[in-house]
Amino acid sequence: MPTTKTKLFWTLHILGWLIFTLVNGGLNGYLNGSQFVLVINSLVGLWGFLVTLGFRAYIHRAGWKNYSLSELVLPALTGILVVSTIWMMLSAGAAYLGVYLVNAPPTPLWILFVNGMISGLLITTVWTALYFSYHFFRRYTQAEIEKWKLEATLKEAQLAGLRTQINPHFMFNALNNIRALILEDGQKARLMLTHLSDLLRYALAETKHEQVSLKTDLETIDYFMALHSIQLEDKLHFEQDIEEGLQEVKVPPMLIQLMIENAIKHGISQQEEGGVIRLAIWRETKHLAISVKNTGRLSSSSKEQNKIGGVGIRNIEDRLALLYSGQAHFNLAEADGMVEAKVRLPLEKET
Amino acid sequence: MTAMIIEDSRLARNELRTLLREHPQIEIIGEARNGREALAAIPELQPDLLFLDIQMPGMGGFELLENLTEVPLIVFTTAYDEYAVKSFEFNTLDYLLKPIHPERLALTISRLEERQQKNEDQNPLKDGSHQIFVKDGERCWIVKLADIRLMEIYGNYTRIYFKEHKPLLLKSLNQLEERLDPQQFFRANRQQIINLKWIKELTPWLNGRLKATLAHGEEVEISRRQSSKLRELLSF
Repeated sequence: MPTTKTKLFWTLHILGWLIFTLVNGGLNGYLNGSQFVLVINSLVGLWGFLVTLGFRAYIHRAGWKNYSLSELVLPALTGILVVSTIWMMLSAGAAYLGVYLVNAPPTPLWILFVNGMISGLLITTVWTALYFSYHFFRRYTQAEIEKWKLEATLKEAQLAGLRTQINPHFMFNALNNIRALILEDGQKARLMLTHLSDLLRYALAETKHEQVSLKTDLETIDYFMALHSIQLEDKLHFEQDIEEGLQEVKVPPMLIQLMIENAIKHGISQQEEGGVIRLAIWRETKHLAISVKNTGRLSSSSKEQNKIGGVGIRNIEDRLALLYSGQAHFNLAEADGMVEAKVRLPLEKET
Repeated sequence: MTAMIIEDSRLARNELRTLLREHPQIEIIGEARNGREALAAIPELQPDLLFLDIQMPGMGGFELLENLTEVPLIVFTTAYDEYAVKSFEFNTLDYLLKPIHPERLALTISRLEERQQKNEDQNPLKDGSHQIFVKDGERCWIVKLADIRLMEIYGNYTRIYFKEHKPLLLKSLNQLEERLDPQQFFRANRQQIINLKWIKELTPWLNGRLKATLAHGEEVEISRRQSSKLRELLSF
């Protein structure tokens, strides 16, 4: 089975030489009004067809197709010279023989050769240029495709890396607290262990999808907050205000969790008396607005943010950039003794 | 051995108490929920040992240690192996990862007892565990005062020399001097305080002054006034 590439070559090769022969032979034949010239020129076309075919086979064998443009110049020029010389020697021979046969006064062989050589070089150059242009173009587009594929893989890997970021501090503290809870309140310990396993399952499995329904994500937020409350106890007050009818809206998994985690880390757990975390989600024309507020100040924790908080915020920004390519926005601001992290996502993601 | 538990999570404090029931030689004399509470309680309770969480609201574990005039024995308890803990000189303290293995805790306690025993042997009259906490960049040390050879003014801070390290301490030399035993630490000049126990050689220098060479080769010129004082102190 010939490949499309091979088929294309044969089509163009045959068609090209056919047109050359018809134009060259037909034109000369018409001008000279002789059938004999037509035959000679057909032979010239056939020789050209065969010689360039041989050239192609040589190019294949020598592996010129992997050469860069600059590497190719010298071999290609030499090739053109050799090919046109062979071609013109064959053509001149044919012409000489033809002239001899019709008993016309024979033109010296070398004159026929030199005359033919100019057009021979030109035609061979055109053939070579077309042949390599196609290959360069093909190589270029293939490199482009490889680049896109690589970028897609990278994006996938980055997302996977960000997704699985369950804060180890949170996890080990939760386990430690559950261990203490087993002695204190067995029932509650069992419940918390179930929450923790649900949360881990969610982080491992559900987040394979780029987006999940808000309903699903909020369920795990409940578990997440319950586990935090056994660590922080009465220091943590959680309030939520979710607009009706947004249950099926798609959000990136664990994004809200990441925002809340940041708020706890830099807001609540920095303050001896604890504080409030307020989650609000609403529709804002064509966007979904997610706001997480915590008691505290932005400036007081800025030192900490450079060290650790930077990672959380960068994660949020990176994820939004990867998923929404510039259509989602994140900002962090302080007002009335509360720090607010706000994300705006496009409600309909362009795919 | 008396101990304090400093942890922000109530359940974590209970968990540690439960584990320590197996080790009656450790007597828990107090608890604190953060560094600030601990800082207020430690001078009064005078615990031998602190079980200390690193991340706490308000004042964290490191900040507490930087504010203590005298650092007792420390066992860090942390939920996750942090860079800060790794950078410690482990022979000076111990750390436990939560949830804590009972066997690991037993090992820590036997090490603590060994250490206390050694200190008593070395210095039967005085509590040999006089130590300070030093944090320079990301490295931390708990240094015995006796190990410090030299303290030197560095801007508003002090550079201290011990073993092969010379970290900066965020305190002035004068602040430090107040806490030092004058029998052991000697003001050589306006810039430097030396530990008399680390002097390898004393040589007469210009104008009746003395020059001290310390164990690791540091050379300290002693001012004229202090030179005569030192002669008196060492009576030669």
